[in-house]
Amino acid sequence: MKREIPLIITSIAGIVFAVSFFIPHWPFGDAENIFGDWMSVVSAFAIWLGMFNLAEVSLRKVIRKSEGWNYALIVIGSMILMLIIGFSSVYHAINTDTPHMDPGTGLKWMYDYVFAPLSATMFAMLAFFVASASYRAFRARSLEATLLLVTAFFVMVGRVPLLDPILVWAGITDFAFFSAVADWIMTYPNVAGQRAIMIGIALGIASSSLRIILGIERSHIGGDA
Amino acid sequence: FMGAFFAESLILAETGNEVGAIQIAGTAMPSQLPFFVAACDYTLLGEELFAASAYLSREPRQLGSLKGQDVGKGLFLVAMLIGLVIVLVGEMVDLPDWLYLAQYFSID
Repeated sequence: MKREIPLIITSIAGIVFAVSFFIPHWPFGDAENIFGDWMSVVSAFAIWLGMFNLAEVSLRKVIRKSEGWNYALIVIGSMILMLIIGFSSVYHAINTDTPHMDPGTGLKWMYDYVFAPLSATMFAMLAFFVASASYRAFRARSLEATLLLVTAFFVMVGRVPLLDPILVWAGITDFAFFSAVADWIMTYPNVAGQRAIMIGIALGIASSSLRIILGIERSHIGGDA
Repeated sequence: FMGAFFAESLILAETGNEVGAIQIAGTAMPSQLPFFVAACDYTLLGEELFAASAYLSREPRQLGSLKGQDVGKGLFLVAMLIGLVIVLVGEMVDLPDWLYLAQYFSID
């Protein structure tokens, strides 16, 4: 039963969601809403599981004074702080019948002035990572790599207001040539390639979903059980 | 890296590249594929991610589903080519109305 119950749950949930897409009426529409609510609850528990796992890994690092244990201590401290502020905001919201993320609540303040700026800082590094990845990737080692290099050159130059004004000012062209080439590349070959990939992805999702619903693929319950 | 990734894909892949790790990535997010291709040693593009388990296990039933996937792709290709020819020819000559297949799939 340890293998069969998860497979049965997966099959029933998969079939209900698939059928409710075509028959949104009772009982499949209602079943889809109920299953969707259950999925939200299970996802919330999964977040708790991830949090406990992270806390355990960080705590082990701190206790053993492994490399980078001070960062693990910051992780634990910030986790506890956010939990305390979050729960107190929710408690206050329940008592005053107001949303817990209203302006003025501790949770909203932490989100606006701590979490959001830190996230923005983290993702600001992407610009430099893109530069270093591009420097490594755009080499003329083969025909495909050369094609990538030439395409990337036209798109990068076309997206930056650098060469086009110079060419127009010098009288070489009377329109934004590189921008036009970049737009054409992004509109036609790029979209065609993306659509081809999306068709393959859609078929792959349908095929792997069918394998999971029918119980042919069992990797989600722990290997070839 | 296997699964759905958003903006964090390049951060993760570049960090692994900096420490010299061999990285294999697979995602169905078309917007992140270029970053993984640039930063990882091997990349599974879109449908290859879903075919990987069948390819590695070599189980006949899973391989059969891959075959079905390929047949489906072939059918889509043929349908697109037929539609392309009909639209191109239709721009040049007057074709009978029943040839415009899109009208049968609309809900008007």
